[in-house]
Amino acid sequence: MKTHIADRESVDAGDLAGLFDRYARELLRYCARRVGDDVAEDVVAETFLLAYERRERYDPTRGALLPWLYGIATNLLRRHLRTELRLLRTAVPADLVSEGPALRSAERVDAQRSVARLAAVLAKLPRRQRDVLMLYAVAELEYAEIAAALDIPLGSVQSALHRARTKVRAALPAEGENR
Amino acid sequence: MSRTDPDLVAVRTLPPGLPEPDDEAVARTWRAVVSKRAARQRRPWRPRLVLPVTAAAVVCGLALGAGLLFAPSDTRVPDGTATPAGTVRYDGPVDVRAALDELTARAGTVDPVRIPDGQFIYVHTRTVAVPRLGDPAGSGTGEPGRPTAGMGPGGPASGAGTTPPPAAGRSDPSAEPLPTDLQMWVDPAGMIVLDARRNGVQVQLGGGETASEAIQRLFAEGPSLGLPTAQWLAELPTDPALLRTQLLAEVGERRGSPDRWLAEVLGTLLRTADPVLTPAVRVALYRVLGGLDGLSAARVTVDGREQYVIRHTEGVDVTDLLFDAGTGRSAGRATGRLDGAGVTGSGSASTSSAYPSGLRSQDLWSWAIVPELGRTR
Repeated sequence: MKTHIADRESVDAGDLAGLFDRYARELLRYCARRVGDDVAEDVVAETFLLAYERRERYDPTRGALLPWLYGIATNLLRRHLRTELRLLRTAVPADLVSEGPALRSAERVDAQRSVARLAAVLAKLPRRQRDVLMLYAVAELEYAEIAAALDIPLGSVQSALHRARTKVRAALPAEGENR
Repeated sequence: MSRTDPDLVAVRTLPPGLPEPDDEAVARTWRAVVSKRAARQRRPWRPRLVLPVTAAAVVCGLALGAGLLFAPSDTRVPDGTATPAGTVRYDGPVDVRAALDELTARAGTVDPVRIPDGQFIYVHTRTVAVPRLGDPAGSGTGEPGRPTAGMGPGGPASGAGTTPPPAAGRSDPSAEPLPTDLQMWVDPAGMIVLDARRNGVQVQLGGGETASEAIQRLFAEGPSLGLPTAQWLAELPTDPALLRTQLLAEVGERRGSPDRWLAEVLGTLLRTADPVLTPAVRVALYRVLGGLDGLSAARVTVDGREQYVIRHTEGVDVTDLLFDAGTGRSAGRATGRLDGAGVTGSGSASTSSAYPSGLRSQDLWSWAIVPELGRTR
């Protein structure tokens, strides 16, 4: 509650520095997972600027400030779809996977393959499913917060998340199994 | 991490080995915020409709200091935009209380202008000669009056923000022929001067602080008297005593009396922030002015519009604020010093402190809301 009051005061006062201090690191973490460090810094800077310029549009009755910031950042990340997909495709360098057991332990190679499969699944997810999943898994927002952030119905969040997680689970090795 | 399902953990840790954002990354991002903001403010914007500042000016198509550029065909600033001629006629002294009462009543009816995102306040300040004392029908028409100690063109504060600089160090106005034109493009967030031209030549204002530094200060410290935003202004106390206290607290410790600083601060604030003042705050500001010791008033006619000069005198220092009697908005200001040379016109050794004693020139200002820097409408 204290945070909400501080947020409201910061927004009202146009205290961008205060908001930045509170939330920049979380947004950087989220954006870096999606588009890498360099682009993430640019996206987060743009997020705070847009939030500052559009602060009159922030409606505290619709939710806390952080999900609103995540929503802005997620919208901005859509401009960097190709970067995000390229990052997913290169999540595991190909040479590490193909060098084989003679150079790497079987366990390690399996882990690399698992990461590659997961990255491929994420890359193939429809944009909304990927957004919802990342906001749930990385940003750790609640359903309602994701709905507010993306401005979509709660039911859409739940169904998108369900579908995305089903695909992700299918890509992960079952316990004790090496694929 | 509160969610430990394997699929969520796997997603959260992808790509593997990605480090957490460190302090340096956060600092770099903050620098990016500041530089983007500065760059954005210099970005040309698509032309949009010019917003008139006062309805009266729209109706008349002719106003001075009332918040809208007007257009006598023979008076144009170097970029071709119409600008006031700045012909000032002195109409004699008036009762200061009556003048303030009239202005305060008018102030309650002046609506603030909403400035769309990305637009700017264009402030045009024309510095003209003052009419000669003892010649009520005479006028200052832009020709230099007798040089006296006084103000510098552009007024006492020409900063990136609106913090008034100390009186010392102003340029000698007698060196510049009048009238002069100062054009400023002001970011309404912080009233930061982003671009300025004096007589068509780009000049650097800000007392050593660049616009970029002022923006960074605004972000870091939030709005203040020196860097006001429309919202900050709207939230100022409307009780005159509280407002006076807050303004003085914002000014901080300075040499000279509080009343003198308040007179100067009001002029500085009104020059850029007048368009966005809410009626309640405007009324309170005028009442703060009315509470100063050493006030006198005069009536002048500027390009056909009736205006009041509210003068604050303290010792030899005078600060004049001009207000448009019709609109209730501020219209200009001047500062000067009363001394032997400053008492003009009568030929006697009078030490009158009444307007326009002590002045060589005065600022007349007008505003427009513009879509990009360099535009005047």
